[in-house]
Amino acid sequence: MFSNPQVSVDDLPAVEQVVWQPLDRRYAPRLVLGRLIRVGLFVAAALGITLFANAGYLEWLPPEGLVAGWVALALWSLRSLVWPLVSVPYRGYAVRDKDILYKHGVWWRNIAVVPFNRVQHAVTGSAPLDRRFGLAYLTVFTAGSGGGDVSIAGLAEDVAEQLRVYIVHKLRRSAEPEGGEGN
Amino acid sequence: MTTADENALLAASGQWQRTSPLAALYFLALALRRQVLNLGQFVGTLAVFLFLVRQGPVATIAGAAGLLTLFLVLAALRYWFFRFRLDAQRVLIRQGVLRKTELELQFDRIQGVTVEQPLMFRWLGLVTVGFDTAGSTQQEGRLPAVKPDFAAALRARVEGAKRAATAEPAAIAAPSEPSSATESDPDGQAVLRLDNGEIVRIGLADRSVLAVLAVVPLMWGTLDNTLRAQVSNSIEDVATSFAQLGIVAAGVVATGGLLLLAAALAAISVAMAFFRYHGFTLFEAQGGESLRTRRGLLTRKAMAVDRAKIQQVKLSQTLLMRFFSRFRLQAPPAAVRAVGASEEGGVAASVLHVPMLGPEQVRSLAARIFAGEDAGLSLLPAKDPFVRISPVYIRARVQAFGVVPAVLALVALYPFAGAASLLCLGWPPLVALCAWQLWRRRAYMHNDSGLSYRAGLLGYKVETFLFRKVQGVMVSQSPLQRRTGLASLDVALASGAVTLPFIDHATARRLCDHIIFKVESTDRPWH
Repeated sequence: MFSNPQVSVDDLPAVEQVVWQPLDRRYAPRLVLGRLIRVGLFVAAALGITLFANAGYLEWLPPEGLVAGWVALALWSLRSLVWPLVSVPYRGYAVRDKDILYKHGVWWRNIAVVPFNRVQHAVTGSAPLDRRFGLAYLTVFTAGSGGGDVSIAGLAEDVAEQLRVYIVHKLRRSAEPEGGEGN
Repeated sequence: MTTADENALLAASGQWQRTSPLAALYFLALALRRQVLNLGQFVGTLAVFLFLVRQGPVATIAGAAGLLTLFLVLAALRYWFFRFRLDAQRVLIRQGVLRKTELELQFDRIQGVTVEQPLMFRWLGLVTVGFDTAGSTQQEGRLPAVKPDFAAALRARVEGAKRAATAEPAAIAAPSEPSSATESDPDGQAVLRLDNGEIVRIGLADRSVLAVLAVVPLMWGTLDNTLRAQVSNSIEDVATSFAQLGIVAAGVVATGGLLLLAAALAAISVAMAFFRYHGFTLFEAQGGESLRTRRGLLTRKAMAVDRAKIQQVKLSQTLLMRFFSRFRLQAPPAAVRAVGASEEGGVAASVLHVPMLGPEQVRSLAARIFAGEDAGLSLLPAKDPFVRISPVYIRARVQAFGVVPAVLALVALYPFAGAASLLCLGWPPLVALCAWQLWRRRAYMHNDSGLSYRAGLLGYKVETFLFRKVQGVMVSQSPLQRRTGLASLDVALASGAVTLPFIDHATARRLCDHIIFKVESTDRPWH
């Protein structure tokens, strides 16, 4: 018999009551190493410029400019290397029966929710450095250009794969007709 | 589909396989195209090439050969690592040399299958299959260099899966009765026609003709010196004549000249409107499930959109349209994108566009599009139930776009301009005035099923959508919003995003939970 009970808004599951899963503990060191490589490249370039300047090839570059450049590079490097240690603890994800949630941001804090019945497809992937640390990312794509996609980096490879399989399983169930296997 | 085709596809199913080795040509063409389209890469390659040219012909030939070899090797590697697998419900694509990805596309989620045959593949009897999804992915979803029979069999399988998936919800998604009106026109029953008066209003309200004025200074730079001198002399002659007329007469003539210019621009704009919108008619067909438009004086254009595919309704009103008490309406469907062809600009969205309609027509058309689900929501901007966002919005805008730039400009200019740099302090009040006006416009209203968001500066923009069409929701808080207990709510739709800035944090959370509940509990398709 058809029934249509009223649902109180207060009884709805609240996004902020979920238990957040932290990202893999190897993710912060992986980010720091990645940044370290980038910083190393910039420092090497800065050393080259300094050597050229000292040899008199860069007359247009005043010594004060060189010092200011090194100070800026030092500050940027410090920020680059420290920031992952600060920001990673603020990231987390949660998987519920019908949706996936992702939170991120230290200053600007965001919580994104993607219902499984709106997912178009899910992708896992890994960069070479990710693979060194046994990490992978998971991206969940929704329809259109509205910015509904969610990408979670810093997952253990097996966790990323499990999540992808889980989401695909959910996709299949939501695609099955009423009365089908999914019920 | 013949049995042979089916057999060809079935033989390929269930196991990882490669496409033809000639797919390397596809990857080579793709890499070269990206090289040209990516400005940074193109300039870098060009610089290296020019450097080699300066070194002499041997270096040039060696460099070019090396570069071509590099591209060929990369294309071969991309082919080698490209594999795909088919089963009854999906296609999986594994690819990537260093960055490995695995893409899974469910057949019932694919909007369409495109089959392309570039010139080089035409000679080789091969095609490239592309999968259209309503997704925003940049991932490759193409199977290059496959046999046409295989492509046809694959397309048949996808269409079969889609038919099977949509057969059940069709009973739910067809609530409206077929129209009892006689559909004398092949496009259906006409529900809105724009007469000549409306088309004149479209022309007058259209601001695109003002772009002509912006082109004038650019054209001035392209004139040759002789012509420029002639024009300058003519202007000087006119100025001299003005001076001889006296102030009052010169003022009258100048005003008359400006009015004449405005009238000429308006006439051009109206003429353009007639070319574009003459005979504009909106039709309803298939019992209201399809909306179609037909328009144009010389080139007749017709489009059709399924009502169920419309994701939101956007209403806008410029200052002049407010004077006419008219609106412009757009109803975009999901942005269908060819997966893997996004860099080729493969967006194929068709937007229902009604360029001019009155308030009653807005209500009537909204009722048709939302089929009654929008009860209590208003597309019209001046209606009372709209709730303004927090006035902290003004503070945030003044800080970001007024105070900070003004202080930075003051500090930067003071050593050179002295006290004159204090004029920068006049900037924040102007920004504050603008922010105040923007805040007055920004407001929202919602019912159980949907939400309307109003914005604008001098005119109005109203976006209305149903919760069940939402793709994802995000609640975000800046440091200022956290201190003041506010948040922004970003609602992702398949046709774009709607952001409600600076609303109460508790309201944002409640709306987020409610929208997610509506999305997850509905059994109606979103498109």
